[in-house]
Order: sequence, then C-alpha cells, then structure tokens
Amino acid sequence: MAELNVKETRRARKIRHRGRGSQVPIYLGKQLRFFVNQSDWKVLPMAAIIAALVSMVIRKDFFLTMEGNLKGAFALTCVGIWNGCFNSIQSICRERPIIKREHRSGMHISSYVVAHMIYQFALCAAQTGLSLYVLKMMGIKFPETGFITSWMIVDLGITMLLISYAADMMSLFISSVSHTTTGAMTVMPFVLIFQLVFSGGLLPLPDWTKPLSNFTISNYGIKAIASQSGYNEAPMVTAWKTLDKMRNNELGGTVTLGQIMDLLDSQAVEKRRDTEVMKSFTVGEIAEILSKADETLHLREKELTHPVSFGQLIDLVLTEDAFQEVRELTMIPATQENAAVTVGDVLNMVKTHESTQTLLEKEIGTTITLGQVLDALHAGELAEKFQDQQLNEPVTLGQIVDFLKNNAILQNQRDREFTFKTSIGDLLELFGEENVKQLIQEKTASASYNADYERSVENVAVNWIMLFLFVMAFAMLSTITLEFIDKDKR
Amino acid sequence: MQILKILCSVFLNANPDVVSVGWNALTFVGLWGVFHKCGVKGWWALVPFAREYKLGTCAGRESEGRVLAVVTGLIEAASIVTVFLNEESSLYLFIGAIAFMLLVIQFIYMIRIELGLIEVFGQKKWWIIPWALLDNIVAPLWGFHKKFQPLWTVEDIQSEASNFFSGSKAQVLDQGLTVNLEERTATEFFKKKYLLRDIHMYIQPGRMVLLLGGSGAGKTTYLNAVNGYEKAKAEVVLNGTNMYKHYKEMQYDIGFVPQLDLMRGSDSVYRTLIDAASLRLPKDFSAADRSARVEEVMKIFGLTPVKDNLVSKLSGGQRKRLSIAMEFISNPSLFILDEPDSGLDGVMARELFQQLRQIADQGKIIIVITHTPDRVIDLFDDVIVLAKDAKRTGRLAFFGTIAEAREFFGKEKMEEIVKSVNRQEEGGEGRADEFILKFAEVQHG
Repeated sequence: MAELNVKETRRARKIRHRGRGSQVPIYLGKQLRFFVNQSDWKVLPMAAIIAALVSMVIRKDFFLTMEGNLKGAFALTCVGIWNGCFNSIQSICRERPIIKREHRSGMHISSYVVAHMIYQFALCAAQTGLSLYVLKMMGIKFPETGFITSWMIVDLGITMLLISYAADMMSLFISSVSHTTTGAMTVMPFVLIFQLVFSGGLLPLPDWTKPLSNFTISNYGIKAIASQSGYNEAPMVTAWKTLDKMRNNELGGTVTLGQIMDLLDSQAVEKRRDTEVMKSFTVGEIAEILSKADETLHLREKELTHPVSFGQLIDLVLTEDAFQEVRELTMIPATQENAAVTVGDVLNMVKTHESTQTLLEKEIGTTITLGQVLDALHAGELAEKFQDQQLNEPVTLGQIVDFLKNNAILQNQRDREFTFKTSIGDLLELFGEENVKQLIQEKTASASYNADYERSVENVAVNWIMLFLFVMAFAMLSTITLEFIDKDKR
Repeated sequence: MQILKILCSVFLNANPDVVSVGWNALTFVGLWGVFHKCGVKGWWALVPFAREYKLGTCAGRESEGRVLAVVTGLIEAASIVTVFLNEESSLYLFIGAIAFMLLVIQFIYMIRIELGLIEVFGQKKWWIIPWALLDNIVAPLWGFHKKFQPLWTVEDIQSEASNFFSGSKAQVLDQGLTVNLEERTATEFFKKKYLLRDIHMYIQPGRMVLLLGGSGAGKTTYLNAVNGYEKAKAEVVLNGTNMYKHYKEMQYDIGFVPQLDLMRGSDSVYRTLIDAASLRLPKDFSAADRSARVEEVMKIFGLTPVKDNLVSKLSGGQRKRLSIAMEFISNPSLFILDEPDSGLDGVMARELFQQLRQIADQGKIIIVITHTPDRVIDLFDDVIVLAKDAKRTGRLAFFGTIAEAREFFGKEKMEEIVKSVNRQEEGGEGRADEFILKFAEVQHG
C-alpha cells in the first residue's frame, strides 16, 4: 500500500493497564463464582460416586495381590483421568466468544490460563481427597507406611492428583481447540479410549503400538500406582484361584496299556532319552554317603552285635522251635531204672542247678555299632582297595523306555484296559495343596515381573515428573491455541 | 456403489477391476459434460482430487468440495500404504479402519455435493438416489442431455465495478476517525480471497453512523478491520493515532459491543462491570475510583436497581444495556455496536438508540449495524453502505449523510437501499455494481 501522506501520528498515550499477574485474580474470581452459582460443584459428588463404584471392584485385593495391584492401579488411573477430563472439557469452549470479547478488551490469555490452572488444581485436589476418603471408607486397606512420604495414602493421593490434573489440563487443551461444547464432547470419548487402550496396563498391546503408550497420561499413572503398591512383591493368585475353582472337576476315563505305551514314543520322551534316571555309585561314594550324610548319622549308634550270656543261649535252645530236635537228642540212653536223658534235660539241669548260676550269667562276645563297622571300612585297606569300584551302571530314561517297549509281556497286553477316576481336588491333596499353591503363585508372579512397576523411589519420581510435564505441556498448548482466538471464523 | 460394481462384474462375468475402470470412465466423461455446463473446464474431470473440488464448486458447495478432495486424497494414500503392508499386521488393519471411516465421510460429503448439484440444476430431490447408486449413468445423462441445464454457473464474472477503484484516500485529522482500507483478504485452500476492497472514509467526532449492507457484504469484517482486531491492508487513524501501529494502547479507546450478549451468567451485574473496569481502566485507577465509575455507568444505563442480580436472571434489554455498559466503562472515543437492537421490541430499541445518541453527543463516534434502521433513522447522522460486487468482494457503495444517501440511491427508506444492493437470488435488485461504480466515481472526482 502506498504510504499515505499522513502527518506524524500522535504519540500513543502511555497508559498502563493491568498486567498479566494482576489479571489472574479477576479470572480466578470468575471461576469460583462459576463453581458456586453454576454447575461446577457437581463434579465433587460425582467424584465420590465414581470412587465408590470403583472401590467395589478393587477393595478385595488392592495392595494384596499382583493382579489386585494392577487392577487397582488401572482403576484409580481411570478415576483420575475421568475426573480430570470432565472438570475442564467444557470450561473454555462454553465461553469462547466471551474470551474473544475480553481478549479484545485487554485480557491476557496467559492470565486466563493460569487462573484456570489454579482453579482446576484446587478442584482436582478436592476430588482426590474425596475419592481417597471414599476408598478408605469402602474398605480398601492402605498400608500404613508410605513409600515417598510417611503415609501411603498421601503417596497415592499425590499420584492421583497428578493424574487427575494432567487429564484436566489435557481436557483444557481440547476445550481451547474446540469451538463448541458439542465439538469438545465429540472428541472426548476418542481421547478417553486412547488413554485407556494405550495405557499399557491391563490390555496387552501389539509391539508396534507400544510407543504410543509413552504419549498417554494413563501409562505413567498406572506405573506410578503399581510401583507404590508393590506390584512385584505381591503374589499372583489368578492361576491358583482358577485351579482352586476347578477342585471338583473330575478327571477320569479308561485307557489301554497300548495307549500308555504309545506315549513312550512321544517327542517329549525322545528328547529326554539321555537323561540319567539313576546314576552309578562307587564303593567310596556309598561309604562317604553313609559316613557323613546327616540322614545316616543317627544310624551310626545302632548296635550291630550284642554280648550274650550262657543263660540266654540255654534259654534260646530250650524255647525256640528251631531247636526242638536238638533238645530231644538223647545223651544217656534209658535203662530199666532210669529214663533216657536228653540234651534238654541236661540244659534244664544246668539252668536250675545252684552251682551253675554264676556260669549262666557270664557273657560272651562284645557290642559292635554300625559306626564302628563303617569307620573300619573307610579307614581300612579294604575300603581303599575297592573305593573306585563301580557298583552299578547309570540308568537312562531311554533304557527304561526301551525295556518297557521291548518287554514281550507288556506288549502282549496292549489291549488291557485301565479305568481311573480322580478329581483336581484329589490331585491337589496328593501333591500337597499348600505346596501347589505356593509353587503356582511363585512361578506366575516371577513370570509377571515388570521392571516398570519396581518399587523404587526413582520409578515413582520419574512417573510423577512425566505427569507434571504433561500438565505443563498441555497448559502451554492451551495458551498458544487461545492466543490465536482472534482467527476464529465468525 | 462398490456392491453394484461387484454385482455388475458377476452379471457380466467380467473382471471386477475392468468393471470398476469402465464404471469410473463413464462417470468422468459424464462429469466432463456437467463441468462444461457449469462453466468449469471439462478436463478437470480427469484430474484426481481437483475433480472433487471442482464438482463442489459446480454444486455451489465449495467448502464441501475441498473436504471431499482432501478425504479422497487420504483414501488413495491409505490404499497405497497398505500395498506395502502385511495383510495380517495390526498396522494394516488400523489403516484399513481409518480408510473405512474416511469412506463414510467421503460418502456423506458426496451426497451433500450431489444435493447441491441437484439444486443448481433445478431438479427433484429424488435424483439423489440415482446419483448415489448409478453415477456412471446419471453423470453422462446430466452432462450431455439438453434437458439438464444449470440455473447458474460458476463462470468468472467480469464487471466494470470489480476492477474500478476510487484510488482517493480520506483525509487524516487530529480529531475523528479515518479509514483508508485497500484490501482485506483471507486465504482458503491456497486461494486468496478478497473480503473487502477500496473503502475510504473520514468520520467526524460526535457522529452516529449507521452501517448497512446485505448478508455477507462484510459489515462485521469491516468493523473488525476498523477497530484493529483483524488487521487489513489499511491505515486507520483515530484522533491522530494510528490504530494498527499502536493497537495495544488504542484497544482501550475503542468499545466493541458484539451482537450476542457475551457475558458470564454466573456473575452479578456489579461484578461484571467491576471486572470489566479492572480490565479496561488504567492501572492508576484506585479501587474506589473503579467502583465510582461502575456506579456512574450503572446509573447511566439504568442498571442500578439490578446491580446484585445475576446476569443470567436479567431481561433481554437489561443484558443489552449491560453489554454496552461494559464497553462504555472505559469511556472510549470510538464505539462500535453490532446489532445492539436484536431481540428488542421497538420501544426498548428506541430507548437504547437514544442513549447511544446521547453518548455520540459527548463527542464520541458511534458506528452501529442494525437490520431495522428505519425506526431510529432520525437519530443517525451518516450512513455507510457496503455491498458485494460481482466477485463477491465487499465494497463501499456509499458513505455520507442520511439525506445524501436517500438522494444517491433514490430511496426513502434504508431497508430499500439495502434491497437495492442485494443480489437478485437474495430477493434484492442486484444493483450493487452500479452503486459501487457510481460512488467510486464520485470519490475519484
């Protein structure tokens, strides 16, 4: 445009108006009046109701089991996101033309957004407090000791507040982009679904979508709560519970010997053919085991031989059936005056005669214990001589399988049927219920270990920082977006 | 349509791809004829994406045509990307889902455009069914049968008024408002569009000015350009200060009252005004000064009795007065009001305009848009008439006193003046170019 021939325009008046900082209280006041006079207060009872509903689902096992911790982390993150989103989704778009008018009259967008940030923070804090109170009231047992602070409920409160606040700022951004409340509410479900689906918590994601989790508030929220609740330290109970529910399920049926024999041809057996079922032992190894193993120590005191008295020997011959013939042997044949004298008679006489009593009490032989024998073997030349002597060949699974398969008797009875009937409960009883439970819980928990949920200060702090960055990023985006409000189409 | 193509291929025992190509070829040939009839080069029918946009232009649905072109482009891009992906992969399925969503959008926009085409060709609405299902038959029929002719075309109309500019600039004085606007443009879909051109005027202080113009003539665009909120290629000087160069300082010297009552219903009348005072009054105003000013303004606009009422509880007239009071609080030199009387009955509207007259009499400039000017015309000093020229650009058809306007247009009533510059299809006389040229010549001398 050609420059107009204008006289020097008058120097603009240097009149100062309210700056950014002093405009914040004006808009904070408007927010508070909106809270009181309009419908913003409704978000508080809504937060309590949501917390009550969620607590019904998570109260049984939150802080107690791995699944409970993850479920609780997911549910509380959802609560935070839901509360945050609905706090501010309409807050800007519902008054967009008013903002435009006020911007034209000297309102600073940054002051307006800061006022929103302060107000929404207070709202989120109130909702978080209410939610935690309701959760506690509904029976969720929070551990007494905290992880970052001294109280777990405070730790969890900070996380929930950050989740809620980050979601709140995200919605504020959506609200600042949308020109109408309808537009904002149309976008809202997509954002919520994205947050929940790509949270990377409960729902398994395909590998290529996993990076998307890094852009969700829910991802960091779940990680923070799962870390605080001690996800990795808790047992995993789902597998055991499932098995426990199957306790009355019956297992049974009829199988033939042939079917069992055919199992021996399976690949699983084939792969383990070289597995030694029983190893070979040398004389030395056996002696070593017997002399040192704890299980055999008490046997060392066992007496192998005892001293025996003559009286006991005579009693043995007189009473044992095995000596019947001996007892009846005739020592002095019978005469007309006297009957025959048998060995038994002689022994009875010896036993009862007064002069033989001392002899009867006399013992022959000594006491020898097992330990003495083993020591003698170990120390002696005999043991040394046969120390490396192999007592048996190692036995492999393949040898057993071959034996069974080549056994003509078994092969001839392939059609023989076996009927069995049992239940999972019986099997649990057989193997020991507590053993099985412990094994399953330990193994599944170990398989479900997640480094992101490790209970460490660094882990929680990183997630808190990420949530805070979301807050700042969305607040900044809202400000930038609203700075372009003049460009709105009329 | 895809189903029909498949059915055709089954019926004809032909390769579905061959059927699809044949189907599309017939459609494009038909569109060539349709474009030609509508005043668009026929070969655009063979250019992908541009074809959709041009069809939208033919149908008088340019914005829908733009969306359709973009959506069609995205669908094609999606189909190209999927060629390189494994059909079992999640990404393939995801892009497939997006493409399906785009197909739905494409269908809806195509229906909108076809409805527009039916309107342009003056045909019955039921034609939408054959257009949606058998475009390969309907397009050639409409393109080459003499029975189907458009009621209007999109030919680039050239007129004398569109190319004649006054070239004379309004004077700049220490008092009053000078507007020398060369052009106000907007870019839509990489295309520069002139919203306003060649508007020059000087308004003296203390004048109450009526801004007239038909729908879409650019009245609000003009006011936004004048107050510096939406800058144009222009020089606007208020009381010796260039508003564009010193917008930050001057924005408090301009009161703009929008058409709608843009206030928060949760605030009381007093709170609304005190907050407005906090924003608009200089920082050196004490709290007591601000409060006194608010009380004064409430008294002027008759709002004192309702000072503690919530805005949501006010009547229509009270809201209008409050809306004006918000702007008046900073005692601006230039007061712009966009339909302040909308929703008010005759008595209340007159009362409102009388209050504006009183403000003007204090040496302020007041520019008002109203659609019912004749009931209060005696209160105005000057009138600005904006009109769309043949290229749909807002131009100055007149600026002067009320009496001069009556003489210039040969009309007694202001509403008749608006009717005379409105397009014929809008129920007007279609004489906009005539008056634009006439006034430009007057200005040119």
